[in-house]
Amino acid sequence: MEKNPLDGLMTQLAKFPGVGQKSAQRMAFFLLSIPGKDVHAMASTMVDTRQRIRYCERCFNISFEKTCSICEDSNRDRSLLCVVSEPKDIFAIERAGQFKGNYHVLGGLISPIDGILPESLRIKELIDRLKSESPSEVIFAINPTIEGDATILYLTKILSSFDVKLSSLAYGLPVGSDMDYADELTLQKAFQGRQGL
Amino acid sequence: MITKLWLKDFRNFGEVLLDFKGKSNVFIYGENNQGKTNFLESIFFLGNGSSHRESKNENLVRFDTALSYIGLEVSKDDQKHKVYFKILKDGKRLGTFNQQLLNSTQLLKEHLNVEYISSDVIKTFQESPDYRRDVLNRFCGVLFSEYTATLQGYNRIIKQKNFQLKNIKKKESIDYWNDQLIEYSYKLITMRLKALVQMETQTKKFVAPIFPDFYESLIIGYSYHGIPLDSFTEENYKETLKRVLGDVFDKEKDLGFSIVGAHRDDFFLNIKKKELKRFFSRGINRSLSFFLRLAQIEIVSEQTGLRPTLLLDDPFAEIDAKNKAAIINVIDTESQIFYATIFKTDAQYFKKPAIIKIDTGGVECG
Repeated sequence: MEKNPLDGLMTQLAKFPGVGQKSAQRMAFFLLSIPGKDVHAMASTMVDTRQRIRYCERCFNISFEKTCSICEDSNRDRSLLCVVSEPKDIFAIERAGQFKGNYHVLGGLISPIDGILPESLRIKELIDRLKSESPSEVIFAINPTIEGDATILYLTKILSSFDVKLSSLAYGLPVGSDMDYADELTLQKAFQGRQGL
Repeated sequence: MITKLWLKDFRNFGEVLLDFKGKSNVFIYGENNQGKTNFLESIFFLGNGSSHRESKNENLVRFDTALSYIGLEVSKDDQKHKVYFKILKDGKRLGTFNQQLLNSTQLLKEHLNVEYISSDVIKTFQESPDYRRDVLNRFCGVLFSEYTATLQGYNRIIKQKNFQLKNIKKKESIDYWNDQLIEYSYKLITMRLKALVQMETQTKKFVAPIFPDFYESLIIGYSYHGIPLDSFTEENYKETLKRVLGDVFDKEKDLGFSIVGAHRDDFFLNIKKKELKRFFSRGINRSLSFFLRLAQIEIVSEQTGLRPTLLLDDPFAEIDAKNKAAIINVIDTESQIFYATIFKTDAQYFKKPAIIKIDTGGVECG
């Protein structure tokens, strides 16, 4: 009996995050159903993007150029520096449209279990930027996990000698959500971070 | 109250259908290795959606069959509810509550409060601090809604810190783990102390009629491992722990793991300032460990408003007849009790019990 001709394609597609065998099969049949030129465009875009993408020399966001579009944008507020773990965090913050400053991507969070120690992160580069750009505020937009908190604690100590305001994002209830569904720790944090009206 | 029980090919049983209507005490006797614990296990499974001692389905299903069924009828507030489980040897298990498929154990927990106490209860004060921490963590996890998440966070901090201690190359600070460890440790201990106060009060209530001499001097206390602490206040604890963590840093680095914090603490039960394990007989140890367990069940049932069904698997070995009678008398009469033992004569301690004899998986009523 002939081997399933889609096996090779499905194996590759199943490497995408969140894609299992069933989804991979659906995607494979979808690729068969669309015109060949579209498949070609998809594949060549993937290869081209992968080859051309690089890290911004200043903030380590992903970019096709030496510096990313955010760093190049002269309208952004240079006095605010938002420290994030990964480039994808920048995309999330940019979608909200609230923050108009610049970013710095650490490239992970301190996690010895995964072999990530402080020296593996782009902390030296962050310090260099503080010296050269002298922002007035550094905002940590880092996930509220044990590793995220450890990273913030570490950075707070390292950066405390600089004349810069340090802040981190507030914890609390998601907008539009029901308090009934909030977990206990989130509610605790929301109470701790309550604001006067 | 559980009014009916049905087993089919569960463990060493064939098909069994029992009616306990109107019987708050069910007395089960039989020789060793006949199936008394298996019988209690089936009730525990139906109340909790899992066994207290076995995670593999293949060991729950009778050896020559592919699947087993268990079910019970429980009456609560004049309403009858039916719980069934189908357990397949290949690993699947399906539960229903009033013919509604169970996706979680929530519905079971709302209608049944089945607790199991075996002769192992004596281990509470005989085993290592690890064992007692598990006992305390489980209890706090039920009592305080934020405890389990806090404990998970704490364990994560310890795991990360230990990993870093093992791989530390030079004298570098690990304050970013220790600072979090202090916060989480404080939160955990705050809840643990509240739980111990409740446990002490309730245990004393059980102890009073049987061991009146012990009532005044019985203390359940908390041991802070390696931390000299005269009183527990937030400031005192956090400052002391920070100082101790600094002092033991080199030792922790040499050992490669963290040696102070909530993960090393313990609790104790003293009577007349004497440690239970070292200065009292096994009979007293067993009685007080039993009361401590019963106290936990009582506290939780007061919180949930759901009286427990107690599965007692011969927890009173080594206890003399007089005290055995007195202890059984102390157990709340509003709870339904399933009591399994090798001693047929123990039936005399119960008021009008249903009597069940178990013999090589065969069940006989009468």
